[in-house]
Amino acid sequence: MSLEPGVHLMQGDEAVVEGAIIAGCRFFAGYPITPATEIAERMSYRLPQVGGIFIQMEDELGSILAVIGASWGGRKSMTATSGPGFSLMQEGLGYAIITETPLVLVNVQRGGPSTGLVTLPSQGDVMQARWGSHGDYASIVLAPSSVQEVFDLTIKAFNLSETYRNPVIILADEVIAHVREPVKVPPLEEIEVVERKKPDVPPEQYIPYLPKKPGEWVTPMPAFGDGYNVLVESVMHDEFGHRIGTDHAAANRTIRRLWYKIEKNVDKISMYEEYMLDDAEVAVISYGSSARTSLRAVREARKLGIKAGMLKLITLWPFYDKKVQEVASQVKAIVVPEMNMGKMVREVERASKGMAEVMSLTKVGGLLHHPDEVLAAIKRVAR
Amino acid sequence: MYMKPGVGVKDIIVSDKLCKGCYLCIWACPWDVFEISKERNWRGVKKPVAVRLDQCRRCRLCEFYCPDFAIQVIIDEEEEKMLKEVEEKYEKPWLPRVEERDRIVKEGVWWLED
Repeated sequence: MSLEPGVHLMQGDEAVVEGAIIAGCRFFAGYPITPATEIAERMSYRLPQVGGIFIQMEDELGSILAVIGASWGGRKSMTATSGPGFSLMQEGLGYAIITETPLVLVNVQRGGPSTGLVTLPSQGDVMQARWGSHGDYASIVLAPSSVQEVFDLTIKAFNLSETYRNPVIILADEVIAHVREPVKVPPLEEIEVVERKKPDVPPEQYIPYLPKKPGEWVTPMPAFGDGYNVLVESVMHDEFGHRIGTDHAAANRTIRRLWYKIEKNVDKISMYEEYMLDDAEVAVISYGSSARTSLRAVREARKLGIKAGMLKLITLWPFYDKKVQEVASQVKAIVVPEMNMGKMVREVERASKGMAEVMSLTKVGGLLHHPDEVLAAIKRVAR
Repeated sequence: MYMKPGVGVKDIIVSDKLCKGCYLCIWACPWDVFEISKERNWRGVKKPVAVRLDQCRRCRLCEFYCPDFAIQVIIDEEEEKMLKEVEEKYEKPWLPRVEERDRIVKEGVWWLED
């Protein structure tokens, strides 16, 4: 049984599990790692209750490949990990991208590099989540900033991955994973759940990687054993799924489709929240748990008479240039607080095209920004 | 088709004049086709003999490995021709032919235009 509608007090990690079960996830393979252990732990007794399978793999390399296999077996599947495990999963992630396998990967970020700050939060993986695997591909990355959002975005992540046949990464962090907050679960019939499209043509007419008509970016996906002949393979393939090691024209078509199917649908995928941006002169652009303290700073700045506003990015990738440009053209200055050495600030700088002064507010070492720090930065640029 | 054992191979001839009995062919054969003969020939060599011809997959590794060019794999050409035709016709019946595939791709690919 999935969670009953109503308000529940939950950790972020537990909200991932409950959201996934409501979204239809019935397979989890993972390896426990702080601070994502609670996801695997709760999955291990919740999945059998709903007829799903939980498996603890030998490591993260095995985990993501088991998830890919389960997804081709016809089940919605997911895995969860943290920084070091996420690095190990990059190879499998590339495999999921070229074979267009829907899956959800939760990365509960902790401080790095390497084993790093095991129990402390960070936002250092935002670039790895986008560019971590080799080659040209586009990825969908969502960053929740409250437990409620973790719940909602997990369901959304499954829907996006089934719609675009692409892995979707949820970038939570240690704060979101372990904070306990009330989660409002709406009645199940109000929750939108996208089911996987199966091919509706006989096997001899099915072309695995050729969308039927313009505007449709992906083809329906059969499961193993359905009788469709699909080569699921990591070598570059043409529309028929044939291995093509040297056919540059076919490779060009395939790579471009993998890229365009995400980047051209940025309007549909992107989510953001605006706070007091209408008349703002200073904008704070933030995401994840650093958006929590930033919002407090913005409210306090308003009390002091500074016209501050905030844009919270929920979809980090594909980056929503249009919205950031719009904000940059309105305001004098933008502050980008993030718990790393300044990663998304590069994207904000690029997208704002010099229309506003961009200030990076970095924080490493495993502490959230104090609202006063963000407020001081707002005061500095507002002068 | 090349992996079907014993199909399309007529004989494996080992030359009396050239074979010196190093048995590289026995070492190289993945299918264990050869066996060492019990009797010595007129040169005093115990020649390898292709006793399990039904196991031969025509990989020709014995031929390639032989340092003295003593081995000859005799292929049944008529049978090979027939097998090729059968493969093209029946082995992958769900795949459209090459020209048909090119046409489908030309008509179906739309995302490169801009």
